[in-house]
Amino acid sequence: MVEQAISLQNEIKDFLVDVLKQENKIDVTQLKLDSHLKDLDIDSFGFLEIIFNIEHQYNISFPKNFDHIKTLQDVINVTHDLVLAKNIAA
Amino acid sequence: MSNYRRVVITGFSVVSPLGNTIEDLTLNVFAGKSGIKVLEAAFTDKLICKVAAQANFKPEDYFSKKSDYAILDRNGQMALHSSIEAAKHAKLQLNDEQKSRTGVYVGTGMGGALSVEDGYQTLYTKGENRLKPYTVLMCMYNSAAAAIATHFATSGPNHTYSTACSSSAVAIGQAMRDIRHGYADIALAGGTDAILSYASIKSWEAIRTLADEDKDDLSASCKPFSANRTGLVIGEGAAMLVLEEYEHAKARGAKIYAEIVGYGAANDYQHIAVPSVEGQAATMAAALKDSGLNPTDIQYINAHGTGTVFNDITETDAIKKVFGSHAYNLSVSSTKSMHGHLMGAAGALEAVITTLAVYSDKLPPTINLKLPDPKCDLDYVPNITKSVPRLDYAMSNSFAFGGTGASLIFKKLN
Repeated sequence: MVEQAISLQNEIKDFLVDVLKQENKIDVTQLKLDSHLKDLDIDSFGFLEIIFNIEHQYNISFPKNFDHIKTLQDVINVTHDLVLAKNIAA
Repeated sequence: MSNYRRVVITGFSVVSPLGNTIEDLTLNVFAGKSGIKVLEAAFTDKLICKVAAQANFKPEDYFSKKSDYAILDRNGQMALHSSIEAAKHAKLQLNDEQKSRTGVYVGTGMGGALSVEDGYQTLYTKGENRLKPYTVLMCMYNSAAAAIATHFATSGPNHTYSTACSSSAVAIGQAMRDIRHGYADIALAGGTDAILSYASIKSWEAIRTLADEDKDDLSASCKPFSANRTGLVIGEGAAMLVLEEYEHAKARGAKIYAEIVGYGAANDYQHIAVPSVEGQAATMAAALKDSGLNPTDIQYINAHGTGTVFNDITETDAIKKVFGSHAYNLSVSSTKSMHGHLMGAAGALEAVITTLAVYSDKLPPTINLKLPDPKCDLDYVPNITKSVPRLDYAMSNSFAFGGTGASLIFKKLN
């Protein structure tokens, strides 16, 4: 169970890095997951684009209010929880 | 109009089927080159008329960061790029006071049509249930104007006009009025349209105004004022001009390319899609009245000249109605024969070309005019650019489905 969770977390992280690379949002070689999004030059539009890609990839819906999502790790954690919730519901 | 503030043109740029720089546009338009060719698109083989006037514009070639253009539809990308280049051309460097006195005026006929169609494809064809997060921003008609005003951080008026094919001529005219009456000192004014999509072109096919392909020379498919004309060739692009209050331009030592001395707008109410002599004549007469000029002062008209059977005869008759016998002294040309019909951007591109004509004393030709139509019996500057000793006053006409006509009058400044 723990291994599955770690594997999913890693998969989400890899996907997120790909999105960031593809959208030229940041230099992924300098990426730190605990960095705040605003420090990575990701504005509200950039963030929406990231969310859009993740929602599309995992067929999930982020909550309307995502004020609590401050870092890339937060994005991974929320995605992880939403994917797990979807799988349990299925 | 001598009591009003004067308005001059100090810069301009384009994204067009005849090139994306003023140098390329100037070379091509006075060389009588055509920008019309087979449309490069996945759906071209499904079109009745497979030619179009496509701009060679890839946003990644013009913007350093994807985030600078990714939230814009192609129409906004082209308009923003044109604005940036027009500002460079005018050597504009706006301070805070100037930013508060700068307005943005953009005309577009169909706004973010490509993004609307892309959204429908995603939902209805691909069966997906979510759209790109910027879809609203890409589709809204004022997207291009918003992008320009945001880029230059201007806080003056910010207006978008949508009157079909006269949209950008209206935008330029209204910008001129705002400067003339003191609402702004500088304006970025022009237009943009990017409608070379399957649905848009099919819509134009349905209304039966598109040209037949010229089988011998596809690039010659648009033949305004010619007896064998068959319709318009649809195009895309953007053109933006820097308009400035005359004293403001002089004070900063700006190069002045022409003055805009007249703007007339009138409604052709008789039919939503069929032009009338009365409607088109009222538009030109309104511009003349606004300028305070006599009809005999005008030497050249850049015609709306779509190449449709109806428009070209109607416009010819409307010119005769306004100018009387002087119509036969005028030179009239349709540069759409070269750059196609840019729809909402047409008036702005033709305003740029008319400015170039006034500045250089050269009249751009109507190409593909080899079979004269007896009902179109004016001097249409057939096929070859005509040089004149001095071009003092020129008019540019834009007419439209829906009825809104706009004529602009340009004056040479020493």
